Amino acid sequence: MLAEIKELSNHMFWADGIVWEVVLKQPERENHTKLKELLYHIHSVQNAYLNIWFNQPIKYQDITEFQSLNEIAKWGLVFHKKYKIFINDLNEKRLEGIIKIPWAKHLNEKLGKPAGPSSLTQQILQVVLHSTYHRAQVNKIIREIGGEPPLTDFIFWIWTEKPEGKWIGVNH
Amino acid sequence: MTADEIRELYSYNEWANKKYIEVIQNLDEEKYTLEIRSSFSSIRDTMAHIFVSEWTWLQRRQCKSPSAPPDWSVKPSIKVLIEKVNEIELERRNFLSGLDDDALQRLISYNLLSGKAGQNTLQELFLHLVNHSSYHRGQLATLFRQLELKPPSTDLILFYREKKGTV
Repeated sequence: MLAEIKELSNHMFWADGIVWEVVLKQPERENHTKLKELLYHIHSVQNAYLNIWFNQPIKYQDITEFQSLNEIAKWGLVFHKKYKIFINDLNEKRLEGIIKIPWAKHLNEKLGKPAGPSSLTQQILQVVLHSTYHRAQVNKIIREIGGEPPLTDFIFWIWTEKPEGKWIGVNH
Repeated sequence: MTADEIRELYSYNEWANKKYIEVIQNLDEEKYTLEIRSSFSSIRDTMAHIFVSEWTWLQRRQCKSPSAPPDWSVKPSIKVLIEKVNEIELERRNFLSGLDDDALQRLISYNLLSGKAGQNTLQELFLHLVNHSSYHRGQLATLFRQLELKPPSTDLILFYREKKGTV
């Protein structure tokens, strides 16, 4: 599964990057609360899981800490750089390992039942599909504010020979 | 990647689609067809796109390349959509049940609806589709909220928890 996890992760890096490229060109972007919330949510979840996988406490950053969308984009790019290091260091055995999620206690209380265990593979797939799901919502807003959302299909990425994410327009 | 892992991902995909089907079963026609600005402009058209894509890629995986979308894909009623979803899922389950690990690396040649030829491994086609359906369910969730409907939770991690009987 390691090769496929790397492939899906490279696609996620590219897809997040081209969505940011289009978002940052939209004149109305900074006035759109929902757009900011969605982009923050994508990278917030990515960062939270990465903290878990590095066995670090979750470093929560409130949305109000980001003064502009570019700051969220930079945060997302930092995530992807750290994530790449993490992925490159993985092996099949680690992927099968069960990783405890810190918010399981909260879930247990909410559900009245213990939350089930999940492997690292399952958690990475969760992050990949979660990002895809919300990227669609970001693209919908891009269309609503007059932009043309980018095509982010996995198969399109393969057809175009798996380009590297460029994150054009993100000011470091 | 193994055939079992693909089967599990498609079990998830079916579970997530069903959650939306359960909601639209009781939806009135007006909300189902109401036009809203999106890449597919209503709940009906977005769902039709999800399931036409699932049908089309399923055909391609079986080395059949449709040259046009099926007739039912144009403005399907809720009843027709549900019937087709059930047919697609049954056909896909049958296909998946005979899948082994080696088959995932098999190169599949196909034609797009435009006639353009393509070739990918079976595994790539499987990964594409599960990602594609997740993407458009994300759009559906927004359409639901715009119509003051509560979208179901379809996170993969929730599926794993439910599967293990812990939710």
